[in-house]
Formats: sequence, C-alpha cells, structure tokens
Amino acid sequence: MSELHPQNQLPPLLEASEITVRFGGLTAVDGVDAVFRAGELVGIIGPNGAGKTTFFNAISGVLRPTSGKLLVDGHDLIGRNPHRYAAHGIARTFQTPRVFADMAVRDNVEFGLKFAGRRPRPWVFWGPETRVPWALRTPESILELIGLAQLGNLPAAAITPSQQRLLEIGMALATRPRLLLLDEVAAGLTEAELENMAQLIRRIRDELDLSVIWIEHAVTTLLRHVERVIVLHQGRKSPTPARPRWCATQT
Amino acid sequence: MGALVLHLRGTYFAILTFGMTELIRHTVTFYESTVTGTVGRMILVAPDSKTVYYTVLLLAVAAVATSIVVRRTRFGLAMRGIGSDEQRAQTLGVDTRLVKIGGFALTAAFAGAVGAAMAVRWTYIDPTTVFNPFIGFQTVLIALIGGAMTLWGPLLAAILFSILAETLRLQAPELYMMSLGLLLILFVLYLPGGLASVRWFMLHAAWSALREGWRVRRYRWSGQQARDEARARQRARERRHV
Repeated sequence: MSELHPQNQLPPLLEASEITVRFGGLTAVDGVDAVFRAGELVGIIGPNGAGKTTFFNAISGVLRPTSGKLLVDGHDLIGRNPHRYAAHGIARTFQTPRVFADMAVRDNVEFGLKFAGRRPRPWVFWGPETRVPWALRTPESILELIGLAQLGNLPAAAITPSQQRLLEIGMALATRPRLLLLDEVAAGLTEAELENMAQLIRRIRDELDLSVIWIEHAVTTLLRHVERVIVLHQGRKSPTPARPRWCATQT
Repeated sequence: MGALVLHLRGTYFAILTFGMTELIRHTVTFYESTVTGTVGRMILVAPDSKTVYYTVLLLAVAAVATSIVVRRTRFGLAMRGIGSDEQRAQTLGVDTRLVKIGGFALTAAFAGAVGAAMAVRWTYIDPTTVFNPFIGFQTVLIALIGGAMTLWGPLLAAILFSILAETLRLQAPELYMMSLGLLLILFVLYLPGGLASVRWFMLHAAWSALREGWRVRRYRWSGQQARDEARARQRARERRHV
C-alpha cells in the first residue's frame, strides 16, 4: 500500500513506537514500532522466542513495557490495567485457551458482553444496546458466528481444545472490540480445521468491521490470508519487502 | 487495608493479611499500654444473651441474603471470573482491583458487625482475644469443609463445625485442636470440593465400599479365609498324589 492509499489516511487504531520489554537482563522485545489501522488483517510471524507473545502482552496491557510509547485510539495507556485497554476496544486471546472452565460455554461468552462489551441502552436498563453489530448482539449470535451454537449449555471444561480456541475468540468478540489480537489460535489444528479457522478470521474481519492481528506458526496458511506481515526475530522487527510476492490478497 | 494487600495474589495475600492482623494487634496493645496505661476494656452493662443471639441471627440471615443477591449481579459474576482466572477477567473488561476491594469490604463488614455484636458477650475484651488468629483460621476451615464456591456448603459446615467444636471443647479439650487439624487434612485430601460437592451416589459408593471392606475383613478375621486356603492346599496335594 502506498502512502496515498485511502486506508493510510485513517487515524491509527493502535500506534506502538519503540516498545521494549526486558526481563532482567533478557530483552524480549527490542524497540518494535507498529501502526495498526482500522480494517487491517496483519500477521505476526517469527521463530520461537522471538518475542511475539511478549509484544502482544505489552500492547494489550497484560505486561507493562519497560519503555516505549503506546497510543490506543489516541490515548496513552502505558501502565494502565488491562480493563482500560478492553474498554478502548482491544480484545485478545491467549496462547493456551484460558476459558472459565466451571462456567457454561454460553456464560463464558456472556461474561464479555456484561463487562467491556456493555453499551448504553436507550432507556438505561431496557431496550437494545446501541451501536452493536447484529452478529455480536447476544451470546447466542456470537456462538452462531463461531460455530458453537450447539454446545452453549456444556461446561467450558467439557469441550475439546480446538473448540476452546474458538470459544476464546468468541469471548474476545463479546467485548465488541475494534482490534482483535489472536495469539496462535490455530496451534495444533489439522489442515482442514486450520483453513476453517482462517476463513472464520477473515469473515470476522470483513463482516464486523474490525482489525485483526494474528500470530501464527503455520506460516503458509497465514501468509495466504493476511494483507501485511510483521516479522519478529530475537525481539526485533525484521525488514520486509514493500510488496511481497506471496501476498495473495495484496491489492 | 484492602487496597494495601490486594495487589498480592494467592498465598502471599493470605500470609500478608494474617501478618497485618498481628501488626494491628501489637500496635493496639502498644498504644494502650503506653498512652492510656490500660489493656483491654471492661463492659459494665452487658445485654442479656437473648439480645446478642437475635442480633447475630439477624446478621447471619442478612449475610446469606446478601450472598444470594450478589451472586446474581454483575459484581458477583465479576468475582466468579476473578476466582476462575483473574487475568482473563481483566482482559474482558473487569476492573479487578475495584471488585476485589469491594468484595473484601463486603465480607469484612459482616465479620466486623458480628464481632461487634459478639464482643459484648464477654465482659472484658483485650487485643489478644480480639485479634486471635484462630478465629480467622476457623472461618477458612469452615469454608474449606463446606466448599468455598457454594452458598449452602459453608452454611452447613458452619453449623456442623460449631457443634463439633463446642462438643470437643467440653468433652475432650486436649484433643480439640488436634482433631480440627486432622479434619482439615482429611477434607483437603479426600474431599477438595467440600461438603457441597458430596452427591448421593458418592454416599452410596462410600457405603458399599465400607460394607465390602467389612465383608473382606470378617472373612479374614473369622478364620474362614484360612480354612478355605488350607482346604485348597489340601485338594491340590491330593490331586498331585492321585
């Protein structure tokens, strides 16, 4: 995309500059700059220990970066608690599914709707919530979207790990986010499941008008679906060609 | 106090709260002995035990009612989420610090109210009895025995526990603390979900296991097993010789 592309003139959703995270003497993320705009589907790749997840933790508020600037929707949120990030429309999933195991699948989804996803209603306590996409209106519609509609009443501990990964996405969507951070949601899936997951992620992006950042180890599938990719290596951002050949969806 | 200790998690949180209690106890004792020159308070007009009983009963009913109501609110849901996975709840938009301080304050309010109501029963109170760590330990024990996440479990456990504790204290004071410790160990080992996790089939299973075990023992102790084995050996010997 060139500088004159219309998408580049939108204000950035999340602007990270010089993000550095150090654990004692180890520098996990070393001065990474990244700008994410509305409607983007960005992939982050890199070998194990490259600092991908640490970078995610830093930009979703779970971990306080050692130094750097982070603007979420124009607000400086460095050092604030994760719920502030959620309130500004940043939702994330975790690498190992962290669902509320003792609650039903449907209640897991409803949790997000009741906290970060809560929107004002016309008559304070009654009426439909305003400015919410149809697909994210109720827990049932979210379960429908992620394809777990049949399992709503089961406890979350009873469903398979790959379904738990889907549920994680559903829980993140329930906060009605504008930026969705997916941390290896397709790890351990079969080839067919992987393709379904990729299709689901693209559908979410296209239909719900949000941007997605996707970390994945299955590089070939990832590269087939994302528009832009950030390569991390030993905590640093590696330079990528401006218009790589492998970007199938590049316009 | 909640704001002070709540940034810690799990075990550290528990230890620090116990430590804080000790600190406050010593501070109060120090203050009383150096500034006022007295330790403890005498209560001269003690209300009769009926008034105390009804006050505490009212507080207990209020506590159970509050617990039922809180479970159905967003606040209760938030606490459930924090109990399950604090960080996940946080990323889903729960202000965990606020909720934890709220929960802390709510429970502390009831504990304080009951303490104030019960304090008038003794005509003399001093910091050592007030900040007795065993009272705090007792509540944790009741919650563990009942099942910490449920409502009726601790209620049942509190009743059973109080009866047991009072009986033991009267009948066998030297065994009192020992048996409570043993009870805690047994519950943590064999029934981590507490009394609330007991189901009928578990009772049935326990009952039939007991009967089966008893049957085996009776077989052995009555000498029948030894006779059967001797007979089997005898038969084997005869078969070899024929």
